[in-house]
Amino acid sequence: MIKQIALPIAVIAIAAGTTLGATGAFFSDTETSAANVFSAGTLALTVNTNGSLGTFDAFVPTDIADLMPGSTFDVSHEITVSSKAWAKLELVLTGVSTPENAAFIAAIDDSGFDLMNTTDNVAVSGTFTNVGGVITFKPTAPLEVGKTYRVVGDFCFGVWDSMSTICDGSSVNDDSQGASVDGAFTYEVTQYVNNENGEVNPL
Amino acid sequence: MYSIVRSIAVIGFTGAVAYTGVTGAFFTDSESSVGNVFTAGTFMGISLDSIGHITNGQFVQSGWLAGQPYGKFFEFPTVVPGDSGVRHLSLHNDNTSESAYICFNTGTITTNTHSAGAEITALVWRDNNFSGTWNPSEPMLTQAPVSIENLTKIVFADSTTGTPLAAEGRSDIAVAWCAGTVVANAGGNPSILPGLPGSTITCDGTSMTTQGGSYVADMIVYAEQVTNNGSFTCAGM
Repeated sequence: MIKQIALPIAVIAIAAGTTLGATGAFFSDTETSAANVFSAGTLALTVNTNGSLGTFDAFVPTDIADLMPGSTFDVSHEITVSSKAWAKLELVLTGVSTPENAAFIAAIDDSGFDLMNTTDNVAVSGTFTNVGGVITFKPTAPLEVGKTYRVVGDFCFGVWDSMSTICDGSSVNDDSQGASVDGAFTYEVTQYVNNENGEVNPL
Repeated sequence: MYSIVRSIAVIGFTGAVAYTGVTGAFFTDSESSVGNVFTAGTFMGISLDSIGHITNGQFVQSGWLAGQPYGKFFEFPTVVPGDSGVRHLSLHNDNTSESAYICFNTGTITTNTHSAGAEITALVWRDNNFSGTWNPSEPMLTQAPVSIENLTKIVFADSTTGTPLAAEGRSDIAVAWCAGTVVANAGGNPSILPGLPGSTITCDGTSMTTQGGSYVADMIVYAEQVTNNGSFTCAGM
């Protein structure tokens, strides 16, 4: 009787083993598209400051000393971008020594340089009278790759006339002797592609 | 008594005829089926073609015909946030009588730098109407945006879901990618090409923050027989 039961169990075990082990291979086919590429672009901004020989070097602070009422000075930068981009320049007055009634005016225009093309020639001006004062310059057209843009700031220790050609220092009094102003130039760029924004600078 | 003896004698004679071989000839007949053939089938008929791709809302006719050599599904060397596109692919199961399970996989990743593989995402769907755009009635094969570095084991059909690619059949899929997060908008207009405002497929580039990354990988369409293969899954590959 034991032998009769054992035999069917053995048969079932063999059958089960056959079922589990018999389907190791199936026909298949593979189609491969090799070496698909997604590479992120870069948006690199380069800013150089005008040097003593008229060349543009690294973006370094500009130090102007011994200003007298009516003195003027220029601070120029050259900027390039690696991808088409919207740009913004901010000049921020970060500190004024006592006394604090010194007035500086900055005008930024192309001054004959190729800041932008003629239709994009934008002049802005503002007055540094308070700490935190900001002058913002936003070109109306995006910066193109392969072009060098020159930003020129014409500063006046006093008040520019309406054409920004004559610096009237009469508003600067003796309280401003020995005064100094600290400012920061900040350039910001953002991609133009997928960010056309109706052709309006979004910065 | 005689009758009994005769009966035994008859039985003895019959037994002799049947079991001792004294008769050498019997009428016989046979039917033969000759030349039976068991030939292994082939399963090499899967091929791909493409009508092209859409990049940033513009259709680019850069496809190939079925059976022709093809190169890269995707080749975008200067992607910026918000860039997007769709590659259309037609799957052909020609020259075979077998239906096929299909999986979409990523093969060897040779380059994956600066989060490029993580910050570019994709969606895959059955492009049933052969348009390259997504109609919400077309099944999404990815239920959520998948980073391209994880774009593998995508089920077109296996034993658990999907309709296998029929013998001599063709079916279409579309792979949308986005430098950022690809978005499926069921309320969008499927007649607007992906990447354009109002489309059913849009791209939000805000999640891509890393510049200069690169991702290079093989992409594979894998097919396997359906017959006798009821437990196949793409996940189990």
